[in-house]
Amino acid sequence: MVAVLAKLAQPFPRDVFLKEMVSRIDGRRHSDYPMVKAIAAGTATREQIGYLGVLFYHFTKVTPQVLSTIHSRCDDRHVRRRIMDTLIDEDTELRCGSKGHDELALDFATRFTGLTEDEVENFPVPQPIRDMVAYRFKVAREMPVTVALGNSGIASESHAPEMCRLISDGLRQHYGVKDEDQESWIVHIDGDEDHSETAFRVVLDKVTTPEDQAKMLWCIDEYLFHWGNFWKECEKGRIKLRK
Amino acid sequence: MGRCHPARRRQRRLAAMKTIHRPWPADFTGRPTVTVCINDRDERFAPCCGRHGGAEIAAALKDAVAQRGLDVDVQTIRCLGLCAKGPNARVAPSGSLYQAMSPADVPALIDELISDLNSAKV
Repeated sequence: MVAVLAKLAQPFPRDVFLKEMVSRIDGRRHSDYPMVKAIAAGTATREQIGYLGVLFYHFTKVTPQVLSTIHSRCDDRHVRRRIMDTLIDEDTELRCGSKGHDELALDFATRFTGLTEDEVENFPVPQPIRDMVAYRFKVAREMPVTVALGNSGIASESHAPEMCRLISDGLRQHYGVKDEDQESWIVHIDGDEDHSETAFRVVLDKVTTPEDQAKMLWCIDEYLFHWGNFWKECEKGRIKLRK
Repeated sequence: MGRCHPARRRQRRLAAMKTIHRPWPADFTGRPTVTVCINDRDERFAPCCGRHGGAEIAAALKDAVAQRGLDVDVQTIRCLGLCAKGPNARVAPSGSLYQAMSPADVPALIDELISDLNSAKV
């Protein structure tokens, strides 16, 4: 844990709180990391990309459980319904994607690496990704519901479409990956474009006390720290490809 | 074929093809790709492109590209993440989107793509 949970005496006004959140994200967007830029430029090795595919699966597969944890703690019917819609998107093929998003991530990992589903599932997950997953569950269990939602909505999803676009274009242009084999990235390029605005609006509307604002800023710092570790881990390319 | 999803019926009443045009990257030298969604699924929760002509659009695009001798890759996918707005096609690397498409819209998409490619070369 790097960030210290600061105490605020007074709540930030809406515009100042927004600036505080954005200033924490600046320079730490997914697309700022060398790994994403290298895929876009075609300079990443196939091992690095395969390793990303496997690690991204192990990140993605817990998302439904993280969401349902938050859902179970939410008293607000309207917010709960929104979480349920997102959960359906993530865990099923009923509203978005041709499969649950974890299955799409598994498809990319197996098709790019040549590993079997069991091999990807049983791949030894490195400590930084285990820490990241533990952090996600901790936030889902312990933080106020709107802060927990803002954690993924602002610190990660708000800048994910650009990352997915860069990765997808790079995979297609430099590595010969067909679009049907990388739906896991493509489904988020345009489908998630309005998530950023929604996430910021909800947090600005609901996270209004000094305590909750401090927690929100702590979460943004902390999640971005884990994402930084994620991208640096991918650069190691610690995987043996079968194709 | 299942019954048409209410969101799709509403959209059909409202609109012809909608285009979200994005500029062509000046430094791109590769082969453009048009990706068409052909997802076919139960429409109780959300509409899908496959039940509203996705495959026919992809076939029409392939024919048009071949007829006009274009070096364009036409691919299919099973979701672009914009289910309520389909049938959808996406052009890469510009990211331009074509929504509520029908096979009759293919010539317009091709014309716009040619125009983009020509202006990128200038």
